[in-house]
Amino acid sequence: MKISIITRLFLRKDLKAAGYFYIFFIMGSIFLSIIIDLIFNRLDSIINLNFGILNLIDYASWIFILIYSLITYRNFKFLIQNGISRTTFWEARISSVFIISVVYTFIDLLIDEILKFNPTLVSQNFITIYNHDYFNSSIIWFIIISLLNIMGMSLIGIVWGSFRSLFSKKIKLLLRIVIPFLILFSIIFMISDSSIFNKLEMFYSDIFSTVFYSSLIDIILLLASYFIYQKLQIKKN
Amino acid sequence: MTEIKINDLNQVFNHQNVLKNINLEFKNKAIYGLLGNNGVGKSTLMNLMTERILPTSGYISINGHNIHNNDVALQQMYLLNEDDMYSPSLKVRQIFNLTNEIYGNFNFKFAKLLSKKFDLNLSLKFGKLSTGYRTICKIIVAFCVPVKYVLLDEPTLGLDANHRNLFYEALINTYSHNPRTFIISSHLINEISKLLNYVIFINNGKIILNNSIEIIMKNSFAITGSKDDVKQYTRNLNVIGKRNLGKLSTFYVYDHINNQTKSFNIKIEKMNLQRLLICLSNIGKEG
Repeated sequence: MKISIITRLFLRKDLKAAGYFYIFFIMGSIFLSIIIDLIFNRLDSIINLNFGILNLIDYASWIFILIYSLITYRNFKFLIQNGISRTTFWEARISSVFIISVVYTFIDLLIDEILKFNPTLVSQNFITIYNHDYFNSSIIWFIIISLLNIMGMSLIGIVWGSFRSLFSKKIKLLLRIVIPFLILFSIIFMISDSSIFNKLEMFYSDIFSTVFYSSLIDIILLLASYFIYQKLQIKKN
Repeated sequence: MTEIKINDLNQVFNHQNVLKNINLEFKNKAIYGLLGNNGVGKSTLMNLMTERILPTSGYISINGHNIHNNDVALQQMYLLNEDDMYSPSLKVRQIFNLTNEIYGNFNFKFAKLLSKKFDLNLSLKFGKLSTGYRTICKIIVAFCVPVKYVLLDEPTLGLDANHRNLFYEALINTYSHNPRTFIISSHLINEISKLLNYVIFINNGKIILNNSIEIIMKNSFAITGSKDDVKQYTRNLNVIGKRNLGKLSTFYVYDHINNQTKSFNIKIEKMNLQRLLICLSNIGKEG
């Protein structure tokens, strides 16, 4: 009953955050592009501006949504104060994440389509997800996979944010120190062992396996977030 | 008839049993005092009643329905305590609006009136308010939200004498216009005792007193006189505390007594609630 009200509350905040993100990213990209072109004396005219940084919008939105989704405890505090159960909180959060992921996907797509009008803009050094062969086959598949990816990023944020909320300040601090090291070691390990990449390639060898494995990861994250949300509690100050 | 029932509730923190097998009922439209010393489990009980924390065992129900993950049950309660549950960036006005959005039927008229009385600026951000004004903001929300159970854990924390007076006035006002259950935990026992219908006293995680204020006061006495006389008079009574001052002794009794004092040189007086609770909390400590 209260899900729609809480989903609306989340959406209002999420859309505002998304608006700020796109405004700052686009403005920042244009500003940085001008600065880079000025440094390298490539600024002949405003039409020839190199907006290559804008190609990173997909990745930037992924990172932004991941970080933004970390906010769990503050939302939990507000909702439990207002008589909203953990399950309703979770359902509303997941609903809003799905809707906002659709919004992000379409805005990213729109920006990429605008950039594609000028072929020089997408031929920069930056790797975009659209360069992958199978994405060029159909826009529908691109949308589905983008949506699954952005939802996955958001769910990682939700799982991690809610997991952190279960612990005291001391343990949280410890996690903040330990986890980046673990990620760094994992990356170094993956780079040093190319067979891991080959195995990963297997999972994403075609559209169907990509959709299947991305959906599977999203479902696992969804279940994990539900489980952790049920354990949330107010901690002593 | 809606009632809160607490069934076999236990709470363990760090291997310490904070609440031990609590069984309680809260009736409708009554004002309860949930009293006890610091750290005896009052706040824990209130946090459990509103699902802010989860019990180790046992459950709480409203009208027969378990409150766990139950929005309908949880929306019948509002807890005010020292925790700041609102984002510091929210303005007071926004807190009122958001509360209305979630609960519905927020009493904006009364909120406006109370804000004026307490001199609370609605345009200020919650994070910019002093401790006292944060409490005031939460008090206003608690009084204006349409719930059947209002739980107030130390509602006068950070309030000066004038604001405390305004709080008690507002409590009487809102209760008389819209009678509902208030469960109040406070250390200012003398200040709230006049408001209470029922008293629940917790000590060491256990309920040691749970009765109406009339019955409690009817059975609470301070008997003063010479030590021998007082001892003789109280020999079959439930003595919960003693105090000696020179040759005079005062024995505190929680029992039904008759006023047959002719053969004894003693004075029987009513004991106030604060003294009663001090005595009850010291039982076992003095040997």
